[in-house]
Amino acid sequence: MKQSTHNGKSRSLRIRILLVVFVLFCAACVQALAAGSVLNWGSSGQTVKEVQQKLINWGYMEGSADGIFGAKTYDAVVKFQKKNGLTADGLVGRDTYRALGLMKYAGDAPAQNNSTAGSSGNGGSNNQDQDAVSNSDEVNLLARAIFAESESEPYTGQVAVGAVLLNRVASPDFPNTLSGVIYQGKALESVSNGRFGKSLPDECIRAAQDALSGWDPTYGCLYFWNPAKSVNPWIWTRQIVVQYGNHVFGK
Amino acid sequence: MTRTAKTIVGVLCILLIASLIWGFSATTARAQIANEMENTYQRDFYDLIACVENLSALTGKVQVASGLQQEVKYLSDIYWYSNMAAASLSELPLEHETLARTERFLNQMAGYVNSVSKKLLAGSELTEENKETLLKLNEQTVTLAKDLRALLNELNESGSGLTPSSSGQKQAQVSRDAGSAAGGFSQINETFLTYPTLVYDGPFSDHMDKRDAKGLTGEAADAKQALARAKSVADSIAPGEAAGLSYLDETSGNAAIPVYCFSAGQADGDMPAGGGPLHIDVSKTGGHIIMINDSRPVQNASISEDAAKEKAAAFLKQLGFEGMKPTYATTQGNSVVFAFAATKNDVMLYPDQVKVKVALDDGQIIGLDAADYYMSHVDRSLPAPKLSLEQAETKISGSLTVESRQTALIPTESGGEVLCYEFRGTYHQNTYLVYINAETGAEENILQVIDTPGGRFTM
Repeated sequence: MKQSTHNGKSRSLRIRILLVVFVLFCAACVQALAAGSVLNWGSSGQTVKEVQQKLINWGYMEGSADGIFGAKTYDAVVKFQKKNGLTADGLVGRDTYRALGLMKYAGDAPAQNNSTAGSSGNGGSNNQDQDAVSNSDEVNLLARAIFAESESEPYTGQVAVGAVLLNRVASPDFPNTLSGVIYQGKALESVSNGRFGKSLPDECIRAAQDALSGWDPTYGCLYFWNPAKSVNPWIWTRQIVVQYGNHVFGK
Repeated sequence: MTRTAKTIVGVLCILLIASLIWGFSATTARAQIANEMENTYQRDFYDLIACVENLSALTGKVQVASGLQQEVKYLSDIYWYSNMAAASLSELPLEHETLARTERFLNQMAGYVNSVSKKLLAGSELTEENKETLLKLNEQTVTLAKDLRALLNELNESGSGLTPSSSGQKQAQVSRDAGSAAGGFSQINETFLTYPTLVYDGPFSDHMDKRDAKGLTGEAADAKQALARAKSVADSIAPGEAAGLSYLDETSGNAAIPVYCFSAGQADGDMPAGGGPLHIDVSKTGGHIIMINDSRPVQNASISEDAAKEKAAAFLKQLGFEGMKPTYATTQGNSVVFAFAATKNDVMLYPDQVKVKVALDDGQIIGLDAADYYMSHVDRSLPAPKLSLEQAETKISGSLTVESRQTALIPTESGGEVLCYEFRGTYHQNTYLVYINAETGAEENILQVIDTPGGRFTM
């Protein structure tokens, strides 16, 4: 009897421990979801590791990037923030991310942009946006569309996608603004799937600039699609003009 | 039940309740968003109907207007409502082929009344043809208004609404059913197929779809000759990659300029599916270099913009372009795109434009776009101007402080060309380019020059 009670007690104890661990795990998940992307004491993960690595590289922190935001990381973050004129609250939010040079949010460029080709034309130089008119909004919008639709395509294919979208703006069959064309109904699969809006590689920005300067490797096409994927059957009634990478382009 | 089992059951119950609560709140949130979306679409639909109803009235009124001023007023209103209707239509959740024709109808109506309006303001009158077209437009908008109202009633009565009910690729088949929004719009769209095309002086006119490349002269070239030409050019701009240049594709069908496409692979010799960084297009007629694009990254800027401009000019000479003058430059990261226009007897020929992209790290030519040039360059006999430069200058606004003048041929929105005097001047810290027609003295266009760190733009 004594034996079995003892066993029973230790088993229920184990169960209780498991339960507590489970609840704590759920709480951690909820907290991670609810807190968004601001890192604070108690956060953990890949992003914390990146932040720690940067701080170690710059001498604010010693030790290794273990991915757990504890006392050492907190002190390092505060030191970094003081040194860089940020609010020294120990929380890694949007401004601190940017100061660290991490592209965490879509559209952010690192605070120090010297040699990355192409970014100085747009993301870095903010004086361009002081003028009433600038084409940086069009470049940005077109680059996002190019990225979403043709991210892994060869460069010419990306310029071609940009040119098709601009040809649509000029055509009477389509909306008359670039945003109208990009956001129209289900015209662009990646937009209607919500892929639109992620952070931008430099190649897509250059492709957008080339397309806006007039380069059109499709010579006037209005449609493009991936023949290997299942698409709206109507699009096969279009005449194919040329193919770059996985996309065919047609009129 | 043992205590263990009870505990497990207890935990599972809690989890079940938690997920039910989560599921319920997620469904409620989703229903709310769907509701808001349906409301937005309904609003667009109502806006569309209101605009088309206005159009049906205005196209009627313009026919019985009492004179030039009234005619222009109604035409301007038609222009406004057509554009609004086109914008509202394009916001509806419909596949492109369901509304392309209707969209085209609305855009062309806007373009047509705009060109007629300009003509009236320049002193002409409505011709018989204009009146016939306006009558037809009136009939078509009346029918469209009726059809749209009927569709709206049908959708509201059946309760199906405008938001597409299913998602995914099967959408197209499902939506063909009558009784759905897409089905209804499809039918409306098809009625426009029976209407004749609208040809007029404007960018949306049907004649703009069928332009020929006037500048493509010479014998037909086959792929081998074209490759040889591409290689010889590549030798001068990217010697390391020229040897690897090989056939990638060629355009077929209705390409504005039929070309062979060549590309050079990566250093290891393998050509990726879409081509490597160097891309050269050679025209099938005459073997002309139409387009070059070298997408290698440019890491820094070492040479000056002026030095780069000279390299661009030298490259054009090498390709055989004569008499090209630089017009503007745009900076793209660490490269600059220079635009050049052809000249004839000191007249700038803006339609005959070539763009050259130069990398600022070593001055290498990394881009060329001669498509515009080959679309429009012919040996023109320019008309003799009826006005002198001085006479034309009296036509421009007195507020402008003129800094420089030249004669230029400019392209029009509808694909034509007109000879003008170009006056560059300033007013209140803004720079403008004013174009006066050299034959009629009418002001053809005003462009504002905008200098930004990224280069000079005009709008």
